[in-house]
Amino acid sequence: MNQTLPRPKSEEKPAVPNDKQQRAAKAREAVTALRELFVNGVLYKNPVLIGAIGLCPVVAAGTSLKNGAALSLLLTLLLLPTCLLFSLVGDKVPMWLRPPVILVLSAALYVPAGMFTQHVMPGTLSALGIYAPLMTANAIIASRAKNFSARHIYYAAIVDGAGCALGFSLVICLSSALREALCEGSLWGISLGIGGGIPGMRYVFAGFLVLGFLSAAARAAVRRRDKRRGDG
Amino acid sequence: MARKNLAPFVRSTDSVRHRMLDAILALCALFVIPIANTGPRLAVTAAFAVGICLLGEILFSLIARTPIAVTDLSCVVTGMTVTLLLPINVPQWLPATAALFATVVAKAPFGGTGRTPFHPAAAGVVFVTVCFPGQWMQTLPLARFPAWGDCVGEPVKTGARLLLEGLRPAADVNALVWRISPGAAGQTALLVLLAAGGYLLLRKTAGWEAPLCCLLTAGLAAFLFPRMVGARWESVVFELLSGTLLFCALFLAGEPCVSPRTRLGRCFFGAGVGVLTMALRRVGAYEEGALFALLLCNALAPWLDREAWTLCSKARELRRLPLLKHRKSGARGPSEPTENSNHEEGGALCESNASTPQI
Repeated sequence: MNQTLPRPKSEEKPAVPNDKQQRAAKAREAVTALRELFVNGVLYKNPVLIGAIGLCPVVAAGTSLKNGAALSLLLTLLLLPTCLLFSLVGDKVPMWLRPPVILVLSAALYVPAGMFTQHVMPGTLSALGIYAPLMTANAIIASRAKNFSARHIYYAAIVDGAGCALGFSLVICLSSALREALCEGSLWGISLGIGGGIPGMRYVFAGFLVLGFLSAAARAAVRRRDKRRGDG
Repeated sequence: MARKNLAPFVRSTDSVRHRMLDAILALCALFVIPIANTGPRLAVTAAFAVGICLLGEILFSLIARTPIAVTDLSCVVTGMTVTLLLPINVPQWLPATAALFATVVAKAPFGGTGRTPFHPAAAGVVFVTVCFPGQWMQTLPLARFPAWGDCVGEPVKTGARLLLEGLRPAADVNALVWRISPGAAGQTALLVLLAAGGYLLLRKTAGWEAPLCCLLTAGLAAFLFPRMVGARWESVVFELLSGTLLFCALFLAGEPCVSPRTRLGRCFFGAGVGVLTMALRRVGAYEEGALFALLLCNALAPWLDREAWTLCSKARELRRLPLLKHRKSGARGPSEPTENSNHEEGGALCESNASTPQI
């Protein structure tokens, strides 16, 4: 994947007669690579389900769909700018300094992100409590910025960040919707008319249970893809 | 030897089916006295739970496209165990939910019987204990219950509940042992429970190390830190006989596929269950800690195996140390060359053992 992506310092190619065609082929290749990058973030290399990072918000705070949506929004707002900034300047930051720089960066970004979330979904930040500011120290942000964005061109970093943010959002929304439906018998605060459910789904262990099944599904998808590739 | 490869956990000559039949026989004995006293409700509940268990297993196999493995009778054991771990008067969907959870979440996704990291029945009962607290789990005094439907009555405090409040569960020990008492269905008649557990141990369906160590350490903890006023030995008896500790130790802790494979590991495992049960009874919110303790120790089983192995190889190494050897041989008369060769041999042996832990 890393080989097919365009690097910031592109090597000088010897001039060839059909330059236009080659450039078009190269662009197609880049688009395919980017698409693969995005799908990897969403499903095949989902940070939560396959990488098992950023579990804390999913299992502890994702008890209702509203919370899940607020956390998804927060992560997206924190992850994308961090990835973009790190793809631009990350090369110049030495490896040992990257984690603190990322932390400071995302903490600074939390102020506008939190204000925006509060504006879009009033009341959710106070409902989330400590888990909202804890998103700044989320392992997904650290891992994407440190391991991927710092070594790749800005649009690749953005696509990767968007894929991972969407992957995280899907997981947390799915698991929190399921838990809210099972626990309260409601969705987004609206009663589904199935009565009170299982109060235990509010606890952390239920989050791990749901996550385990989602992870198994993601792994099944990976296996199916590998099989398809093997056949083709 | 011919049936050696039937399942990953069976090393003796008998099959899984054999073990399960033994377990079913022992569990059936526990049904007799409750059914004689409270009517057929317990049997109906157990049949319902077993049915749900089978249904869950078949559905999961169909969805996951794996072969349907219901002939090993593990579903029957799980359904019966779950029913016996809950009071007789609970609504019948409660054991069914526990059985469904045990099959669909705790057993089937991990690869079925013999590959479960956690005891399925214990996981199911813990799930309903955590998820449906309060009025669903309360115990009614033993009476004729309807075979199907809800039971009504004034809830009583079980022995475990009274101990949690620092009170005596019964006037004297004899009353607890010889009479039937409300609580988990499997603990209703204690003498039958002891006999059935003894049968399982004698038939070697369950290993004896974990149950014995569990009961010993729990008894020791009850002796050292009694929760009720009165003589210390009374505290030991009441603690061991209340709640589901005895059932848990005899029927669940000895299960070969969820406990460690080394003997010393199983001893550690049992001791861990005993200590954790008493600790959870002291500080936990639930009146019963045995199942939680069992699940926690299930998670530790591979680590316990590893530690037991390290300890064994360390002890072996210690025995071969030149210092001890010298002293031993010094008594008989020093013999330098043999000692050296022995030490080298011992060192090599330990190394080879350490590199290939057979667990």
